[in-house]
Formats: sequence, C-alpha cells, structure tokens
Amino acid sequence: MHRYTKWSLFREVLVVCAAIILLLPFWILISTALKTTDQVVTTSAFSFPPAPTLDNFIQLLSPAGSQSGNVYQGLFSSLVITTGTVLLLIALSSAAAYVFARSTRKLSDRIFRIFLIAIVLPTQLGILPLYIGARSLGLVGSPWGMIVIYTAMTMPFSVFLYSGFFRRLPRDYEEAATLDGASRFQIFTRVIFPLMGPATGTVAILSGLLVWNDFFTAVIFLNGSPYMTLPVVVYNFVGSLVSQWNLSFAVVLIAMAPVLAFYAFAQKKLMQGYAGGIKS
Amino acid sequence: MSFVSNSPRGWLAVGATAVAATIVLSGCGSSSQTASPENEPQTIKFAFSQINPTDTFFQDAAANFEKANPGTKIELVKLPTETAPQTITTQLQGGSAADVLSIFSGQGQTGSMTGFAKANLLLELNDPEFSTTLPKSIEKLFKYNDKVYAVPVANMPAGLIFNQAKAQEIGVKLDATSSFDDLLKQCTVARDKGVTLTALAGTVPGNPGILTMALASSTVYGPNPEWNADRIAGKTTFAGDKGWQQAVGGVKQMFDAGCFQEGAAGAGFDALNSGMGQGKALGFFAPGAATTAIANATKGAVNPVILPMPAPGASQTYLGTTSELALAGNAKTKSPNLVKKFLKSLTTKEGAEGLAKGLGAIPVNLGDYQLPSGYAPIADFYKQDTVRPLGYNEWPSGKVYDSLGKGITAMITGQKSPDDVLKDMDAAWGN
Amino acid sequence: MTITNGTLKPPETNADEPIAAKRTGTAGVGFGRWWWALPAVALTLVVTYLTTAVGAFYAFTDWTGLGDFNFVGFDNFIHVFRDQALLGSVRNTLLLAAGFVVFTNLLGLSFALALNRTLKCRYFLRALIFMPVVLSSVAVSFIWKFIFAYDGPLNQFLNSMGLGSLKQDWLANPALALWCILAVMVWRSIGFVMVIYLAGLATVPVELEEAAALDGAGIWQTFRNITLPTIQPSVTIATVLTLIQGLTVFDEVLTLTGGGPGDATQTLATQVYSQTFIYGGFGLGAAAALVLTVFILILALIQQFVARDRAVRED
Repeated sequence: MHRYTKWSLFREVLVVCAAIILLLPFWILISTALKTTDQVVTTSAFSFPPAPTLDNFIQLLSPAGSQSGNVYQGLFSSLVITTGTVLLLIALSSAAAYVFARSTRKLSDRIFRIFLIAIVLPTQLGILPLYIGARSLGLVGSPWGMIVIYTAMTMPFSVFLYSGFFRRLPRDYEEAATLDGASRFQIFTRVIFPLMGPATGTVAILSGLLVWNDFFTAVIFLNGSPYMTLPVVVYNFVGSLVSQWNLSFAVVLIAMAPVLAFYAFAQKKLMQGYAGGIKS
Repeated sequence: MSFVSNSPRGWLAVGATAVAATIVLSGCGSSSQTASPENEPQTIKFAFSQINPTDTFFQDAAANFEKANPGTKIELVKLPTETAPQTITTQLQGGSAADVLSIFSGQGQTGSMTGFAKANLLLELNDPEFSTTLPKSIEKLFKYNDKVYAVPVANMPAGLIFNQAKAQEIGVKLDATSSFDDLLKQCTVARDKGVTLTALAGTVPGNPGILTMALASSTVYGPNPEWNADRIAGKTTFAGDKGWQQAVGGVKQMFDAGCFQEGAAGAGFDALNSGMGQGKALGFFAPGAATTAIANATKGAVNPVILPMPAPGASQTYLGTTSELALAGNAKTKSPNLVKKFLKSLTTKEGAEGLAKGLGAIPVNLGDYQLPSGYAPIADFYKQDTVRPLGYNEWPSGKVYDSLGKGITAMITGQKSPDDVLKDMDAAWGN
Repeated sequence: MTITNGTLKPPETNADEPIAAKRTGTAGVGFGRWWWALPAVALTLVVTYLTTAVGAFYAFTDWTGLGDFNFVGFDNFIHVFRDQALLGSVRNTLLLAAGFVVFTNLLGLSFALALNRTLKCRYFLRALIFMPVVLSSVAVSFIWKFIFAYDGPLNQFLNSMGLGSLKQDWLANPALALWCILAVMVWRSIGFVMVIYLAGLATVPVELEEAAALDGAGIWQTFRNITLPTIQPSVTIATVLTLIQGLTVFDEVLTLTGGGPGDATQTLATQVYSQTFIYGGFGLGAAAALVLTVFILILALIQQFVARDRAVRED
C-alpha cells in the first residue's frame, strides 16, 4: 500500500513546490537583510545580492552602534523573563496538577474546572484591571512582575497538561517510596517529578515560546521600560527605522535567531510538544 | 491534614486563603512622598522624543543648564517617537515617569497636558515667571483651572514643506500667493513630470490630519477664531459647518487632481522624508520644523521652504500655527524645585530661542527673533497677524483628531464621503 | 486521556483502577499536600478570574482611567453596536475568525495528508512548514508588510508577469486589506494545524485503509469513510483552537495595517487596545472586550454540547 509510486512522486513534487512558496518570505527576509540600502531599491526583492553585506548586522550589533544597546537589552530581558516564567510555572503547575490528579474528591474536580475554563477565557477583558493591579503593586515595567503575570497566564494550560500525565502514572511509585520511608515532598521531587520529563518538556516548550514571542502583554506592560522584550524592541525599532527594510530585516533576523537555532536542534521535540500539548 | 482525607475543611481553607490573597494582592498600595525642598536630589531625569533623529536641542538645553548650575545633573531618556505619547501616559499613570517630560499642550491628543493635569499627575508651575512669559493667544493650552502646568517648547507654522529649487527646475510654480486652484493645476504639472506635488502618509492619522487643519485655518478658524468655543457650546457642528465641508472637500479635490503619490493611503512617515530626499515628491504637509529636519537629513542637498496652504472658496489665506510641543514636570518628582528651575531656564529669551533654533521653529514670544531662512515665504503672515493656532489642540480628546486623520484616509480609499468624515468627528466629540 | 471526541474535560480517575485502591491509598501513602496547589489556584483566581470580573464591571461605567467614574448601564454596549467603526470591528473579527478556521484547516489537513507517509523528505518538509509557528508574529508580520508594500515584492512579481494591471496598494485597499491579514494569519498557522492532524492521522489503522483499498474504494472514499471519522477529535480540536485564535487576533493587524485604512481592518482586540490604552475610554474598551469574551464562551459551550451529543450518540 505505502510503496513509493508515481503518484507519490507527483505528490512529493507538489508539496515541495507548495513549501517553496510558503517559505518565500524567509528568502526575501534573508536576501534583503544582506543588501545595502541602495540595493533594496534598485534590485528585485527576490534576487540575492551579488555581493552580500553584513553591514546591517554589524551596525546593529557592534557596541558602538546607537541601537545595539536596545537589541542586547531586549535579548537579555526576553531571556530572563522567559527562563523565570518557565521555571516558576513548572514548579507551581506540576505541584498543583499532582495534587489534583491524585485527589479522588469531587471538590478537587470542581477546582480543576477553574483551570479548564481559564484556558478559553480571552486575556483582553482582564488586561486592564490586571494592569491597574500590577501598577499599584509596582509590577509594571519590571521583569519580576512580568514573570508572575506570564506564569499566571500560562498556568491553566500547563496544569491541564501535567494532570493528564500524572493521571496515567500508576500509584505503585508512591507506594514503593513510602515503604522506603520517603516523605511526601521527597516522593514528589525525587520520584514522581523526574518521571515527568516528557510533560515538563512539553510545558517548557509551549510556555517558553508563548512568552518569548508574546507581544500584546509585553507592549502594554513593558513598552518604554528598560526591560522591553525582543518583540517590543523589534516593533519600536522597525517603527523608528521608517522603511529601511534591510536594517529592519536584520533586526528581525537577530530576534528570530535564538528560536531558529533552538528549532534547528529540537524541531522534532518542538512539533511533538505542540501535538502532545493538544493531544497527548 | 492529608490531602486525601475526607474532611472538607482543607478545601475551605483553600478558598479562604485564595480570597485573602485576592484582597491582599488587589489592595491598592499607596505611599506618600514628601521631599524637603532644601535638600532635594540634584539629579533629575528628562524623558523626551524627537521626530528627527539628528536633533539635539533638548540635549543642548540640558547641557547648558548643567553648565550654568554646577552640581546638578540631568539624565536624558530618549523615547521612540511614534509610541512616546502612549509610553509617557502609561508611565505617568504607573508612577514610573521621569521628572521632566515632553508632552503636548492642550487636550486634543494622546499625551496631552489637560488629561494629566486633571488627574493631578503634573507639577503645578506656580512661579510668576511661568505665567508672565506665556503669550495670551496660547495661554489656555498651557493652563488647567487657571494654573500653569507646562511650558511651550516653540511655535511652528504648519503648511506645505516645499522644495522650491526642484519645483522651479521642472516648471512647477507655487508660492505664498498661489490660490487653491493654482495648487490643483500645479499638481497636474508635477505629475506630468513624474513627480508628486505633496507626499501623504495615509497610515499615520496625524499627517492627513495636519493637511486638513492647514486648510481649516483659512476656511474655519480664519473667519471665526472662536469656532471651538462655538462647538463646545453646541452652536455648530463639523458636519453642519461650511468651512469644514470646504476643508475636507478640498482634500478630496486634491486627491482627485492627483496631488498625492500613488500608494498614499498605505504610506508611512518614511514616504514623506525619503520621497522628498529622493526627489520623488516636491513637498509634504508638516509643522515648519520639517524644513530644518529635511535640510539636515539631506546634508543640505534639499533646502525646503514652508508655504501657507491656500484654501478652496476662502477669500483670505490664513497660516495655521501650533505650539503643541510642551514640557512638564512630574507631580511625583523628588526634586520639584530643580524641575521648576530647569523649566524656567527654557522660558527665558535665551532658553526659548535656543530651543527654537535647534528645532527650526520660532519662540512663542517672537520679539526680534530672526526667522529661519525656510520661513521667508510666510514672514508676512506673522507681521499681519493672519496666523491661527491649529484648532485640534483644544478639542476634547484625541479621538476627534484621530477620526479626522483616519477619516481622510478612509475617504481617499473610497470608504467614506467628506460628509461621513465630519459626522464621525461630531460623534467622536460626543454630544 | 483528557480529550474525548475533542471535549476538554477533567480526566476521570483511571477506569482500570478499582475503588479499593483509593481506600488502600489513603492508608499511609503520601500523595503530596493540598496546599501545594494553593499558589497555582490563587494565581489563576486573581490574575485570570478576578481581573476578568473587574473588567466586566468597568464595561458598565464611563471610567476614563483617571479619576472617578459613573455607572452608565448598557450605554457602552449600545455604543459598540451603534458606532460604525466598532460595529465594523465586530464584523471583521467574525469574518477573520471564520476565514481563519476554514483556510487553516483545509490547508493544514492537506499538508498533513500529503506528508503523513511515503514521501521521502516528509520530515524535512514538516519541519520547514512548521517553522513560522515558532517565530514571533510581530517579526514575521514585518516581512509581509514589506511584501505587500506598494513598491514591494508582490507588485514587482505581478509586473514581471505582465499583470501590472493587478498592481495594488494591498494593505491600503479597504476591500483587500482584511484578506491580506487573513493570508498572513493562515500562512503562520498552517504548520500548527498540520501537526494536530498528523497526530490524528497516526491513529488511523493502516490495515483499515488497506482493506478499503482492496475493496476498490477510491482515495476520496477511503478518506471520507475511514480517515475522517478516525481523526474527528483532531478536527474538533483544530477547529476550536483556530477559532479562538482567529477571534483574538491582534499582532498581525497592529503590525500590518494598524487597523487601517481608516478603520477598515479593526478587530475587537485592536479596538480594545486603542479604546483603552490610547483613547483612555476604559469603559468602552471593557465593553468591547466583554463582547469578545461572550463570543468565545458561547462558541466553547456550543462546541462542548456538540461533542457531548456526539459522544452520547456513539455510545
């Protein structure tokens, strides 16, 4: 049935063609970022520059450049906020999901529903009160505030994910560990949590990417602060470059680089993460 | 208590603690700051934005102040231009704003003074120097409840920033005495030579906005300087006013005559600067500082002048001017005296002229100030006092001016009639 | 596990675990402490529920974000459905969401079917097609802004093909701008939907397909009678997720058109942003957000009922 036939070859060619069209924007992105300002105007957008130049990147990244500070700062804030969120999220959501998964009581089910409904609630309605609340606590424009807010925003989905994994874990592990005299905390941290590698990976990937790429919350809470994340930096930067597309695209590429590098190494895990997050 | 025990008390405790946490977290933290005037910090932060990246007039002003007042320090925070008003609004509300801020006078835009003053976010400038240096004509833009809350940066005419040299080269004839019909004709002349008479940035509401305001200076505010007061009193509406119909209709006529470049509706600010720099456009509508900005950006290759905007059906051309750029102090500053001292230094003749010169504008108290060279075509308007402040700085909210700018873009993309645009403005005004 | 016929529901206790296990379980085995769940519950209650409730409260006031406010009843909602620009944004939101669901699912499923088995470079192609999903929407939207620009690649391409008459100011044409935004949204999410369907297709038994082929069923018949029923849960999940994503679209609109030309491409999410954070009309912004929230909750409810109904019928 699944032999490679002429029909398969035809499909293969068709899909490759479709993929090329889908990826054309990336070709334009890269070739434009390697052009000089004159070449952007004079050459076709589809053509690769005859003499590619790294000047745009050098101008953006060299410490002497007027904007390099922003780019590095954006990278740094994105890194701090994303890492902080993922760590806090994993600690809190795995503990909570574990408790729910092992509870047999009705009330626990009801409380669990809080997370389920929260998954579909859009952020738009709550964003302003959240902003006012965060403001009165001095959390606006601070990386710590962002970590707390992002953790809360990604919490429902990751509790949901974790509890699915925990429920499928037989209770024998706890029983054996109890016999060995381990405390509840030890059981969880030493025995159960390490078994949750795939779940933790999925939660880390999904929430990490969500936070790294988030624009809506970041532009409201961080714009103008010294802790702007990369998407906000890129947004402001491209706005101020007023259509110097070669420079703009160099910024875009710099901002994409960390995720692309990660993706190149872990694309299979990443896709599994998305698929598994939805249908594990 | 074990989690799996049958007692419901555990869950009650969860609920109770959650509620408690809620109350604690949502409770408003308030802290009062009282700084003693004698030994307040001698370092203040100054947050500002400048449209032209090469401008240094605020930096120079700060440096001059530091030199004149040893021991003081002004830290500069430069904000991205397009988002600066929102950023400053957010920071003022959040209590994280700098000590001195660049804002807009009046109340017609995001980041305008009145809204901030109403919410007690700005430092009252109660020294007599602040009110005595404020010209009567623009006084109300810098006062709220009869108290001064901001100082003007400069005054600028708003009109057509025009590359006269290039125009003459290709045979386009336009000057301060041209009528509106002349302008429409010259649009065709320019178009035949492959250039655009005026570039328009349709995606930035402020650009079609200022074009229409320049027209309205002659059709609305020239004949009736008190039009805004009439509108507030409900005696007139945008849609029902002949002058406004002429102004918005005039933009439509310009569009139909091919005055704007192709793709104007989708163009950003860059279409203005680069269009003029590359010679694709002869001009664009902007405040007068743009003459200096363009000259600097092209390193002197293009030296534009500013022309008044003739208006359709108006007997007399009036020149629109704006004093919207303003500086204010943060009410929460720990150094109120130093902030006032710095702002005061900018209201002196020297300080104001320094700012005006760097910006390519003129001080609000003109005196014997030498007009910038690009202002030559409009010098007579100042002498004859046929100048009018652009009306939108007094409008009740940024929404009205925004709906004008967006409405114009909607109009030239065929979504709205001039009448619709004016009706939207009335709706945005409220009542 | 938790997704039965595409319904999100709390996982029930493992069926093969007898009730007796519970009793022995309570005897002395430690299963964590109840308060371990406290931070997560409190954070969700405060950051998601409390703020949403307070937001809903503001929707009935005329608060400007500064100073006092008055209750205005349903005025803000009347305004949302009377104001041309706001009503237009409701229409745009629904249109974008519907188009997004249809196109991402059709294309995502096509790619999933094509890349499911056999093809030699399927893993490589999957990885490439999925790539836009992991990138920042703001960053990729800028690429498209350039592509759609008046002197940009798309018009250059049309010119070179001798189709200069089709040359457009794409993002400034009120009839086309919304479709351009939709195209970018779809482009960004094809890979995401494809992955959901690939996971579903992996559960389709090969033997069944082969049996069908032996019986002389055509490709379409096999798909219709064997594949589609099996991947039904994936269809539901993909539809719900794309629907919610489509209803809340913000980044692409803000970066591509900023809601323009005029207000031609405003969506509820961009209106919430501009009414609240730019114009300071917090009450009106909250009302628009509440409308959006109600849309989503209604759709979620409908989806739950449909899925439950199907589950009942299948039993």
